[in-house]
Amino acid sequence: DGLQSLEGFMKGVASGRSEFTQTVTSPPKEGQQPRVKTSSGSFEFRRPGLFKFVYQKPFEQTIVADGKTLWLYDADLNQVTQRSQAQALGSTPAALLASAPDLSALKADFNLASAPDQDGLQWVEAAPKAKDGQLKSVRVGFAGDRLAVLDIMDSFGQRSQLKFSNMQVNPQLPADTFQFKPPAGADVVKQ
Amino acid sequence: CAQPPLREHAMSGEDSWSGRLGLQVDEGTDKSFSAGFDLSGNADRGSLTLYNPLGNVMATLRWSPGVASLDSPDQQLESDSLSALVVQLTGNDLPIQALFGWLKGVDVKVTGWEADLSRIDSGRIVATRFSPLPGAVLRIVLNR
Repeated sequence: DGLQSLEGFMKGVASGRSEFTQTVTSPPKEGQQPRVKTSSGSFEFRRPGLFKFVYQKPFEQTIVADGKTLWLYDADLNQVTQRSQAQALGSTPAALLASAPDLSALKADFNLASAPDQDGLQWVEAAPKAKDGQLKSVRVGFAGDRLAVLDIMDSFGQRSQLKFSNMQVNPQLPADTFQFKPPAGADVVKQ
Repeated sequence: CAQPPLREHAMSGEDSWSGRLGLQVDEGTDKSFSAGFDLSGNADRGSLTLYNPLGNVMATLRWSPGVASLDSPDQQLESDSLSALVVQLTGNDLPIQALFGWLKGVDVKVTGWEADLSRIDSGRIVATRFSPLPGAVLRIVLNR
């Protein structure tokens, strides 16, 4: 079931590399269609604490967590934002799932429960313990012990769905995968 | 191939734009920031939503004649001044209402700011604040 898959993922998958598609659906305003934005790129992680999102489409944006600092580079803005990894973005579900050292680290932030299989995947409902936080609900889908889908509803009714494909489990990742060096000429902003 | 429009008309007929904005403040880098955004409506009545890169909403500002509201996971505020709420949210008095002109290529004058609209056709704006100090540069890139 979902919890067994999650446990298998947390214990058996120490690192991973995959492609992803992110679909963000804003709640419809009265008389309007919901606004949908799709982006895609690559995702890598290694426990504990290291992950990297490289958005390629529709624009180039890179997020790297090196264990201490969270780096965000927007190529169009030519701006790098660096902030302490423990801050907001570091505790997003994707970051937690990928880089939390073990299941108990997840249980500190979420109440976890198996949900019925759906779309050929095993699901976990992760209810955030922080009641007034940014997140309302999180659903995690697994294909066996491979992370397949992350479905996040935030407290504004905005739904962000990440679908992972071609997930390589425990690949050999180069040592500098999670090191980030600001490109020459980019503005570096510390938040 | 034909470029998708930068400015969308929602069914309700109001203008709307989506993109990313980055503010670089000369000294106090703790006032600098970057975020995704959706801007809709007009200078009198509209909304601005700010997102983190993973698509989660960080805050929503709404305004109409005489009232403005700020809604974020940890605070809900109302004020009769939009700029007071913009300062509360971003630490800076950003020229939100002038954006509606700038994004249409109209060089709306804002005291202390200078807008470079030369690349608005490719969805880019650079606005520089000369006063009050510290100086700052606001960069906007519209999503295609």
